[in-house]
Amino acid sequence: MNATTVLQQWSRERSDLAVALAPHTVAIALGARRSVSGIRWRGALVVTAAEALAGRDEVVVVSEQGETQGSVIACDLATDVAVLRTGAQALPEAAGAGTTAAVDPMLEGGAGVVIVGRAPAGPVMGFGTVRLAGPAWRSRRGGAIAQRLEFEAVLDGRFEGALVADFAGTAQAMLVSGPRGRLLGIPGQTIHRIVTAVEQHGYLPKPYLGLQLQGLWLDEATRNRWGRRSRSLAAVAGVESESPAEAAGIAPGDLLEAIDGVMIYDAEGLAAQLAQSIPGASVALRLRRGGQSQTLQVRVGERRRPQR
Amino acid sequence: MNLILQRGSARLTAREREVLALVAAGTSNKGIARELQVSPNTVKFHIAAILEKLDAATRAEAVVAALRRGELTL
Repeated sequence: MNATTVLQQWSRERSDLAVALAPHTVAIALGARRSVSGIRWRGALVVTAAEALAGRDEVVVVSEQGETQGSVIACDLATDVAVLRTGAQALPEAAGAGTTAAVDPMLEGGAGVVIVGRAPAGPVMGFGTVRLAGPAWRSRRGGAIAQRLEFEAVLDGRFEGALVADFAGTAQAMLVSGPRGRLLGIPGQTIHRIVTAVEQHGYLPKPYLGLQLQGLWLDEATRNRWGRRSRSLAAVAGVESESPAEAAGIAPGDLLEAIDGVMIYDAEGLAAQLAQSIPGASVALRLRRGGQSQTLQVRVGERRRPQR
Repeated sequence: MNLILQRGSARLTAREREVLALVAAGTSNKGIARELQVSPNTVKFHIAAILEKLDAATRAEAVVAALRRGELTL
């Protein structure tokens, strides 16, 4: 009986797919019994879920080549992407080659995915389905994310930060846990944006305006008169002294309408837009003051970084 | 100048706001400890108090809650 059954072939192809991706993954030990996964993104850089690190700055990273130390060099809670630098010798650059391709491709709803992570004992693998594939979105944490991805799969905590690939074996996203037990994907494009900034600067620059906002609710008549989609509105509650906002003449009580033409409804909305701007560049803030709309140019600053 | 509206029961202390601003910037617990010249345990203590006051389960939730309350600067 040499004939291979369809089931055997199906099983082997699934297994081959998962096994081929395993070298791109690492385990990140968070204690004696807890670990999450990470993806060897480029060179010595590994990405993982930011929230899972819970403020750690040094972690033990376990790859196929063994254990090494990882230093957290960027931790973006808004997109849930953290970037770690690992011992370069233990993580040869070639291993990351397959994971750099996934910058634009988009997953479609209903597509099958393979999810590969790693525990200290070895790779962990699962299969799932794209439950939701939507357009770019803003997370509840104020992160600008290139595509909304939600998966259906049976996984445990060790898969947090795991690599999600399509059935062609192309890395597409990083798995993170969302609200209400949802499995979300942070697309390669978003990770690429953060990793590129980190490579350029050695850290993730944080754009800064110096604004404190408070949410207000408009009545229906005002909402219609002002042509706004939502009743919520962010009001300037405070302006830090010597900040870009102060230099531009923004004052407490101003109502924030839009930044660079994108409507802003709350502080998270501004956070998400701001996260995509570059310190040193100018942004146009449209504000309503005394019933009149006006646009002020603000030169985006950079938040001072704590001394290392 | 600041027009912060008092809302919710517990306001963050000045120290807690400093800690949360550093959390929001992606600073590690040790980094925060160095910056504020306190011990890492004190930082953990502040973070626990912040999560409690803002009724947040995670750091990211706390950051968003504080942003909405005008207690963090963008």
